[in-house]
Amino acid sequence: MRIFLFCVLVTVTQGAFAQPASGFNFGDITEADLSRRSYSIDTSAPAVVLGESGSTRVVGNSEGGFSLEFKIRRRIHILKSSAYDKATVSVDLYTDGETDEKISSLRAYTYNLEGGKITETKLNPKSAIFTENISRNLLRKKFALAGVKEGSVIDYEYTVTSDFLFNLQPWYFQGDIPCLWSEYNASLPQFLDYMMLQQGSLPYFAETNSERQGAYEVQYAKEVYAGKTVNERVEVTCMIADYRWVMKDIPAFRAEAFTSSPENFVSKLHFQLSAFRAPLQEKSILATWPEYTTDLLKGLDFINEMENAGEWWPSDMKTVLKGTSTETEIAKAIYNYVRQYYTCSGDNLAGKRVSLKKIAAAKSGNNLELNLLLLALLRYAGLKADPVMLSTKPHGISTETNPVIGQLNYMVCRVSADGDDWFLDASHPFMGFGKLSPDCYNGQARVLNREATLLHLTADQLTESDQAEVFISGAEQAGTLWTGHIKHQYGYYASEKIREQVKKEGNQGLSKELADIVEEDLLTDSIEVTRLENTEEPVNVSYRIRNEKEAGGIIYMSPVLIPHYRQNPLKSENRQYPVELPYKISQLYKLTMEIPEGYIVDDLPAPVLVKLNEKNEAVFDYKTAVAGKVITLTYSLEIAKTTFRPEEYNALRDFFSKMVAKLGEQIVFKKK
Amino acid sequence: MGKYLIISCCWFFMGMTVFAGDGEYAVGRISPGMLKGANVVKRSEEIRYEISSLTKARLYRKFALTILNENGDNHSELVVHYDKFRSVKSIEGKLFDAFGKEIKSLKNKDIDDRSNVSGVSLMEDNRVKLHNFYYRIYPYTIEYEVVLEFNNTLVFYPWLPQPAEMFSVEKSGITVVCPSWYSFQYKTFNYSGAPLVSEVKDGKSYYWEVKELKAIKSEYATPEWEVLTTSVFFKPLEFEFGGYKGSMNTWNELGKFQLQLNEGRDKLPEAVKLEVHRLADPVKDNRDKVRILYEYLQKNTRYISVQLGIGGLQPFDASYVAKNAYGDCKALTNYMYSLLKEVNVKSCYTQIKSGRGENFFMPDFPCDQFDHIILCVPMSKDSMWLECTSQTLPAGYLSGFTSDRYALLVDENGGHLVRTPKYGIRENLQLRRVSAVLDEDDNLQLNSATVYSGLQQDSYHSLINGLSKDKVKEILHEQLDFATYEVNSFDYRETRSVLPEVEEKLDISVSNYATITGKRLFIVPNVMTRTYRRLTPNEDRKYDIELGFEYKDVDTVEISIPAGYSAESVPADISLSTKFGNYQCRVNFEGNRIRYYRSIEHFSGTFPAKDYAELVKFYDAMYKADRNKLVLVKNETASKGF
Repeated sequence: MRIFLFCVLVTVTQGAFAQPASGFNFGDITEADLSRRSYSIDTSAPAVVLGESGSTRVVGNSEGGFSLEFKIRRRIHILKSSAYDKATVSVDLYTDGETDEKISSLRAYTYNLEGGKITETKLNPKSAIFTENISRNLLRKKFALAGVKEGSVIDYEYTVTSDFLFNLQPWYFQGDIPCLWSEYNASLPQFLDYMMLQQGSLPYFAETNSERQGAYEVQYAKEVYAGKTVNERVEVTCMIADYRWVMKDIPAFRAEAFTSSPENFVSKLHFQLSAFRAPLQEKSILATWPEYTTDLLKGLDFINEMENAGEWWPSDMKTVLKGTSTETEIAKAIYNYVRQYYTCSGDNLAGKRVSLKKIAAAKSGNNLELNLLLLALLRYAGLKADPVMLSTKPHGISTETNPVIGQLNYMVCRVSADGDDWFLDASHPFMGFGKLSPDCYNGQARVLNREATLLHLTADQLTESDQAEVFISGAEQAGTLWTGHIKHQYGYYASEKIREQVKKEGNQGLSKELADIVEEDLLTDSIEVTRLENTEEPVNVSYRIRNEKEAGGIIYMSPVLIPHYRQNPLKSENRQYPVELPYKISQLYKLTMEIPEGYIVDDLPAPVLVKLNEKNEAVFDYKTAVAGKVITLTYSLEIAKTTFRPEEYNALRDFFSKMVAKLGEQIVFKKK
Repeated sequence: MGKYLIISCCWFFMGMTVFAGDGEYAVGRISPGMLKGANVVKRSEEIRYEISSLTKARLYRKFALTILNENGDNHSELVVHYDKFRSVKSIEGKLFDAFGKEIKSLKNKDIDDRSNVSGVSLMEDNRVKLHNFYYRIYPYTIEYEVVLEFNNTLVFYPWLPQPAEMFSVEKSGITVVCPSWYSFQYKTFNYSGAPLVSEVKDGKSYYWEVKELKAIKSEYATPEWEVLTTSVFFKPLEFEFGGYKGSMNTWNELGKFQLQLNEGRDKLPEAVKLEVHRLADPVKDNRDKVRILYEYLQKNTRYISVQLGIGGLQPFDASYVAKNAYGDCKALTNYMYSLLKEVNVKSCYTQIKSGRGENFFMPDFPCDQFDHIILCVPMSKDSMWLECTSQTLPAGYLSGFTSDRYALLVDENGGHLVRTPKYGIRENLQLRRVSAVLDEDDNLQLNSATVYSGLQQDSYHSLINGLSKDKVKEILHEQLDFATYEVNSFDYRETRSVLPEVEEKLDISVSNYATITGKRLFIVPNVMTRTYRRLTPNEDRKYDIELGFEYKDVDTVEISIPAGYSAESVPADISLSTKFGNYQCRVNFEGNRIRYYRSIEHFSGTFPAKDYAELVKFYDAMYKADRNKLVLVKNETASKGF
């Protein structure tokens, strides 16, 4: 993957790139085009984009300003009925409630080959566009092409005009069907600076830019005297940069398992308005991190609100803080109070936040609101606490060099107590003090302070460690082959799930699950879960097991009673993108077993040491031993890093394969 | 329950004592019987449905729910659907704490208003209003008051005071008020006695009420929810909808209403008529005509839902479909009807409730219980059924989506209640042959050939018609139950007929299929067909057991293994014969060959609750039998050879 970022430069290397020799031509459809039933790029694809082009230019509008005009044209060959959804097109438009982005110049045709002749079905744009109000800032326009069958080629184009200069349309070169030609053009005047972000691993077939002299005409209504206006025209001449990016023969995007966000790997291009330049009034829109954090803090606007503590300081705080003295105790008490008693209504950062007073009264809020309240409470209690913004894994990776609008989507809190820094997130009811969900460990995090302190939260900083000990002794009662006891300390994040489950279904739910986890149809009882309420530590689950099978001449026994892996988690035989694990893994299993009375060990699994590589980045160590009447079996699994390159995939898959096979091996006892 | 609940329990017990000054919703006022097994208690509900004319009705509903714990939170959201036929007049809401003290009231701006259009739809005018207090200090109580107005009287909402499991009801009542000339009917489940009828100004009033409905715990394979708890269904005898009048005394009358809506919507453009004749006229047999025209429909149209105004009930006309080459189930069915009519083949627009396992239906209570349309073509002996929204189903086959249930067939004489075909144990087959070789390195090289038919082929049909080959491969790589494996090749072939079949051929390599420990080899002879179903025992099973899906699977497996092993432990033959089905498996080891046979016949039917333990035993026995291992031991002589 690569993420580049550079600002539009006015200096352009003239003629550095020649125009590509061949290009896609939206010319007439031929019979040969229509009679094709498959394409070599993917012979089983249900549809193929034959060509698509998008272009954005800036135009002067009649309101005295500039607008963006985005034109798109696309031609798709529909090969199978399962791709009919490609013939229903949705266009999302931004609205601020007063002004909407507009769609115009829609032309859409469906071409079919019928009896050797090409037929053309035209969509009537007047009656064809439906509007759906999705949310306050989003309108969705939909149209469905008429006359679509298997084998149709559809061809459509439309223009979106936007007065929102920040909303320069992004371009996805890659989609869920293959594409033969995809290009994007942008013509941008020197008085608008856009930052461009490119991502994905596919190469450009052509990438050019050049500069020319150009002019824009802006109109506005000038008031001459009360109520009477005349149209004024202003011409702005300036340099215009023309960009063109082309990709060719692009395979369909395929999401893979163990990826933090598939979106990180799609080939796409997007833009962010960064500054206005002369002849416009010079203004930096977003340039540096300190500006971003200052801006965001201003927007959150909770400092003033905090001063009127009488308005929002919850009455139960007195009880909460009772008996606390050190900074850490205070921080923990406040954190646990918000975490337990406030409901998180979602992660949405869009829209206006409600006041601290309302959050405290409703005991609910979204992720940002709850963490803001937490922050206010901590600060009011005299602690140093700051908001921290980050991008969660499903939201995608964030750019470090410059702030990009919308990239950081999640707020947590950092508190300093007795010299230590802790991250807190009150919106997860089972998360312990100082713990964040693995989704937060996605690289960059920014403290909302004057310096916009850069922090790195990465999956490599987390280790999920799991330990189980099993003791098995002879039968205590008739009809029982052997009995035993399992003590299992779950990993921290697995514990979070146990906590949730026990809260929901009680120990019953857990016992049902154990029946599926534990090998050999053993009966389980006396389940005890400890440290359920101590969310800072992982839980311990202990229970008794009983094997009531009849003893024959031979006893077969699976010694790994709670296997973490029954199947290889890496299913696919090849890999395009890195394998990303949410955390490092450390597992320890220890079995101590008395040889059943009257039996001897006839077959014992051999010890094995499996290593991923010489650097010991993944090690599986399996040992067995017999000493007198006791068998011991231990295994440990250590996976010491979280990102594995595609080149390492086969070795990693093989590592898991060997381990899974070993975990299934059996001990055999024979009657003396 | 664990210590974790201590905090919320304290709250709870504090609430148990009622103090003077506590509100009517104080949790202390709830009786222990109502709390038992409940996450939510409906404290009160008052519904008032007032009909003033055939085109005007008003629904008032006020209810209060006490949410006892987080598992009840999914009932704390208010959801109000509306469209052109019903509008929301007002919504009010209040939030109360455990002591019944009001802590918040709903503000109009907190109500979320959203489009409720499904993904496949181009346009619908359904919208929804949502509200939630998002409170989390349990227990708490929410109270809502909603007023809806209807401009028609086609559909009455049923009264289901207890909508879910672990949900008790202190009190709920519904009043229906109508003019004296107006008549409606009702049907009750688990309601004893008659409604309270009284004369009111200019009309009559009917009242139903329940008190103290205990929380129900849902069980595996129960009958439909509507018959487990108290419910009352209503229907008008005369109604008006979108300017059309109708009545529903009988199924026949309800069919006549649809006939009215469909009237004159079958005009085909000349070009289509010509094409239809060109295709169908040379063919003699009516079944062939139907098949050819159905395939023409499948090739030339696609399914897109457009539901505006009366579009919820009335199909777009045939010329609309001809022009756009798309339509929803009504439009496409009407189009197919028109194509057949053009060549003098009679067919019937048929209303049905779609979805696998959607079994609740009241055949003795004629009213609109449908959500989908299919086409029935009556033939001399039986009928041909056509699902007109699918581009891939064979003519005459209804998948699990609409088979084996009631349907309202509409012909020129009105409506007739019929049943769609059932696919049973003779049709729903999975016949599999596996031949495999286990090599010295513990890799299993296997070839399987499987024929799926009837409902057992439905998912494979969607898989191969809906996804590209790459995607199918990806799914095969995810879903087979082997530790580590590669799919070397795969092939699917469909036989499209009234009873369709899919033949699957797989070539798979499994790493470490057997477990080899020292001198022994452990191997599961059942390579590919294992049951995963295990039920939790329940000594207090309350409800009948309803098993819907009948099927039969047969597997024969042959595995050859490296030379030099002899059997140490061979699983005994198993033969289970129960009222739910039969299961057999047997394995033998001879030479270097393992031969395995397995068959299961799973029946459908309704069984008394007392049979549940037997069902648990049956599934458990199959689960274990499917995983039995054969243990082989290396011959001493062979190992001495080294």
